[in-house]
Amino acid sequence: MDHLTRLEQESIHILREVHARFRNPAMLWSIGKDSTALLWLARKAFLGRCPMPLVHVDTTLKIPEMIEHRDKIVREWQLELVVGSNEEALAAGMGPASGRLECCGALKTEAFRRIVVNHGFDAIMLGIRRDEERSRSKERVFSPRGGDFSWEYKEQPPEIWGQYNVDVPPGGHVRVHPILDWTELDVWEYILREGIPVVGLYFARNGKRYRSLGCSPCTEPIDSSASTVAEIVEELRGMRVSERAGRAQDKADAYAMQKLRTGGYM
Amino acid sequence: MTAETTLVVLGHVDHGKSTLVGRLLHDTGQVAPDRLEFARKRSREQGRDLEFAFLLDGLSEEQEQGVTIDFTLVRFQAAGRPFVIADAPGHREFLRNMMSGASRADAALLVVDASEGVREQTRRHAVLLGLLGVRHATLVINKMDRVDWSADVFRRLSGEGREVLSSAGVTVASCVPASALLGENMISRSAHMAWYDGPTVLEAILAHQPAVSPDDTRFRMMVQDVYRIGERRLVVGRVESGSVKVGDTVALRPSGERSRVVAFEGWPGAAPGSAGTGENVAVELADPLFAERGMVVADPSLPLAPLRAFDARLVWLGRNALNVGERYLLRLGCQETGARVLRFSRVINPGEVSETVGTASLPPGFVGEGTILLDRPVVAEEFAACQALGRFVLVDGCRVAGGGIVCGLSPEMADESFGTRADLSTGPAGIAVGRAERRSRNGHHSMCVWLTGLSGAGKSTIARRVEARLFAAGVQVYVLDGDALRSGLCRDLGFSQMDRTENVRRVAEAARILVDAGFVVITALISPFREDRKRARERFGEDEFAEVFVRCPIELCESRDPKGLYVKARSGALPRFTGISDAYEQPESPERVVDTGVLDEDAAAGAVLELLAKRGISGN
Ligand SMILES: Nc1nc2c(ncn2[C@@H]2O[C@H](COP(=O)(O)OP(=O)(O)OP(=O)(O)O)[C@@H](O)[C@H]2O)c(=O)[nH]1
Ligand SMILES: [Mg+2]
Repeated sequence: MDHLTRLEQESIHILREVHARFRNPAMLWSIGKDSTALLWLARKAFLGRCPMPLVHVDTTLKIPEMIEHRDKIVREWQLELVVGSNEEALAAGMGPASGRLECCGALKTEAFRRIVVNHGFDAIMLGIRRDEERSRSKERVFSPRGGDFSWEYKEQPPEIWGQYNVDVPPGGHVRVHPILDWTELDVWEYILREGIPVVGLYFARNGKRYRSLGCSPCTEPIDSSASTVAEIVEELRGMRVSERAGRAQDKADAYAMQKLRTGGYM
Repeated sequence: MTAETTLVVLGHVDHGKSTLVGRLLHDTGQVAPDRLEFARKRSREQGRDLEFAFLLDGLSEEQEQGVTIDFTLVRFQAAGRPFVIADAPGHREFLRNMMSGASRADAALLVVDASEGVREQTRRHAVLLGLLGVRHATLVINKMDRVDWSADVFRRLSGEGREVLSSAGVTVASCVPASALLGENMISRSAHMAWYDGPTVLEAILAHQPAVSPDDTRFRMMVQDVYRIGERRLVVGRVESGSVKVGDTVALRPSGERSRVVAFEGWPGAAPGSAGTGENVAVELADPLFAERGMVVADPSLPLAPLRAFDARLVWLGRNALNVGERYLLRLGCQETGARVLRFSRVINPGEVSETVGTASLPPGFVGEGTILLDRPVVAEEFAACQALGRFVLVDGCRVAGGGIVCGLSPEMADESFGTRADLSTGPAGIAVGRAERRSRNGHHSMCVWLTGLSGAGKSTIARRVEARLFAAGVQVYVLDGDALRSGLCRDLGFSQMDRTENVRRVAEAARILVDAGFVVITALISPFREDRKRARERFGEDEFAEVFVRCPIELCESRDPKGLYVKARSGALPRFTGISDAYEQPESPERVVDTGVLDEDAAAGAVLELLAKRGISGN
C-alpha cells in the first residue's frame, strides 16, 4: 500500500468510526484545501454521499471567490450546509482592527460555539494537521471538549491502537481530526491523484497565489508561478518556509494559536 | 516508494529525546527557516543558545519548563526513505502520552543520559515496548560530552541498557554513544569518540525497517458498521489480516454462520474485486446474515470462539488505581463490553528492578498479569496470533485508562453459545428433569413477560395484578421487580449506562433460570436501552418472551411520582434519571403496548393477561 493510500485508509477508518459512534456529527468546512480533501474522504468513506452536515463559520471577511466555490460544490455534491456567524459581534463592528486575536475569538470561535450548541452536534470533524502549527502538533485524533469548549491540552486522554475516546463529556462535544497526520504536501498530492476541485485562489495569478486561506485581511498570498495542482506539488517539494508563514494570527504573539485553540478555536 | 518506518524516541525525563530529534531534523536540513528562527528566539529569551528541543516542544508550558508534555509526530527523510518520528515525553506524569505516541511504532530509540544512567522511566519504557509489540530498538547513550566522552561509561551503560531491553523481549539492534546537544555521532562520526566504530544515530535509524506483522495471513475483518444502500446491506470494516476477494466463503463470528462475498462497493467508480490488509471495505454477502458492529468476519478455518474471559497483560494509565473486581468498559476492535479483573497473578512496577507488589489493585504506571472476566462474550485471539484481535483498552468513566494484550484464552471459561438459549438442566438422556418435564407437570407453558417503561408508568402495579390473577388460577408465577433486585442481586450496580446494561443482563439471566424452572416470570424494570432489551430477548426462545411497553406520558408519571423521584431528579439530587437526565429508548416493535395514560390498572393488567392467554397461559 503506498503512502497516500495508507493515509487515506486511516482517515476513512476514522470517519466511519465517527459515523458509527456519534448521534449527531458534523464536519467543519472552511472551503480550504484541507477540509475539502476531508470532504472528499467522507464521500469515499460513505460511498458517494456525505451523510453529515457541513458547517461553515462565516466571518463575512472571506474572499468572495471562496463563497462562490462553496455554493457551487454544495449544489453539485448535494451537501447539507449549515452557515453561521456571530451577528452581534459583526453588528458591533468587530474586525481585525479590534485586535486580531479578539477578532478570531469573536468571529470564529464564538460563532462556531453557537453553531455547535444550537444544533446539538456531539462530534465535529476538522481538517487540521500536525505540521501546520505548534499547538496542533500536539493534538489527538479524537479530542474531547467540555461544555466551555476549552482544550485541556495538559490532560489529554490516551489514544492507543486506534482505540479512540468516543465518549462525549457532559455538555460538550468531541473534536475529530481525521487528517491530523497528513502534511501539506500529502494533501496536495492527494488532490492531484484524486482530481479534487479546489478554489481558484490557490493558483498563481500575476505571480502570486494563496498557500493558506483564511480571512482576507489576515492572509497574504505568496510569490509563485504555480498555476496547476501538479505545479503546486512541484513547488512545495522545494519549499523551505512553512505553510502558515503568511498568516497574521501566528505573528501577533508567540503562542497566539495555542491561546486561541485553548479557548476552542479550530 | 518504500514504506514508511515509524520510530518512537523514549527514555527518562530530560535525557535528551527532543534535543536528539530536533538535532536530526536540523542537521539534515529538514527544519523550515521560520520555525528555526522561532526556536532560536525563544531560546534567546531564556538566555540560552538554540534549544533544539523547542523544534518539537511547541506548547508554551513545554518551552517554559523545558519538559515535553505530550508527544508529537514529525516526518523525516533519510537516504531516500520516509520515516515518522514520535517524540515521546519522559516524565512519569505523562506516561499516557508516551504510550499514545509509541502505540504505532515499528521500532524505538531508547535514550539514556550518560551522566545519569538507566533510570526509572528508562526501565518502564523498555518494559512497555514489550507490551506494545515493538520488537527492535536502538540504544542511544546521550550527553557523552558530560562524561568526557568516556568509553568506560559507554560500555557500562550500554550493557545495562541492553539488559533492560532484552529482558523486556526487545532486540537491541545497535548502541550509539552521542551528544545530541553538540551534534556528535548524530549524522557524522565524532572526533571525540575515536574508540567507537559502530553506526551513527542516523545510520542506526536507517537500519530499522517497518515491522513485519507477525499475524498469520488468514483473512480477518472487524465489522465497524453496516450500511444500507437501497435493498443492499453492506458490511463495513477494515481488513486486519490477510485478504479477501469476490467468491470467498467467510464465517461471521461469534455466530459461526457462513456466507460468500458477492461484491465490494466503492466510490468513485466500482471497487476492485479484492482487498488486502489495512483496506477499509464495504462488502456485500450472499446471505442476509445478522451482521452488526462488533462482529468479526473471517476465514472459516479460524477457530474464533467467543470468550467469557481471557488472560491478559496490561498497563494502567488512569488517575487512580485499577481495582480488582471493579467494572470497566473494555474495547477490543469494534467490540465493547463491561469487564473486570478477576485476579492478578502478578503486579509489577516496571520502573524498578524486579519489584513485585500486592495484587489487589494496579496503580498508575504499573503492569499487571491476570484474568479478565467479560460481561458479554468477545471474539479475541492471543496477541501473538493476531495483533488487532489481541489487544484491548479499558475505559474508566469517559476516558481510555489502560491497555493490554491477550496472552491466554482461558479455554475452560470459553463460551461457545452466544445466545445461551440452551436448557440449563440438560443431563444424561432419560434421567434429566428438563424444561419440558416441568412444564408438563405444571400444565402450562413458561415464559418471560418483560415490562419496560418510565419510572411511575405503572410497571410494578401491573406486574403485581397479573401475578395475583395467575397465582389464583394455579399458575407458577413470579415477579422480578427492578427496585427490589437493586437492593440484593444488583446492589453493586449504579445507574451509569454500563451498570444499567449489567442490571438488565442479570435480571434477564434470573428470568431465564425461572423460565427454565417452569415459571411465568414478569419483570418490571425501566430497562431504558433498546440494545439491552434486545440482548435480553436473545436469551429466550421465540415463544418464551414478550416485551410489553408500559406507555405513559412523562408529565403524567411526574405528576404521579409515587416515590418522589421526579422531584429529586428535577432538583438535580438524582443524576442520570431516565426521562429527565438520561435517555429512554422506546421499543420499536413490542408484543404489546399498554397505555396507562388511558387505561386504568385493571384494564392494563387485563391487556397483559390477554397476551398470556394467547400463549396458552390462562388467568381464569
Ligand atoms: N550536555 C548535554 N546536554 C544535553 C544533551 N542533549 C540534551 N541536553 C540537554 O538536556 C536537557 C533536556 O533535553 P530534552 O531534549 O528536553 O530532554 P527530553 O528527554 O526530551 O525531556 P522530556 O521530553 O521532558 O522527557 C536540555 O537542556 C538539553 O539542552 C547532550 O547531548 N549533552
Ligand atoms: Mg522531550
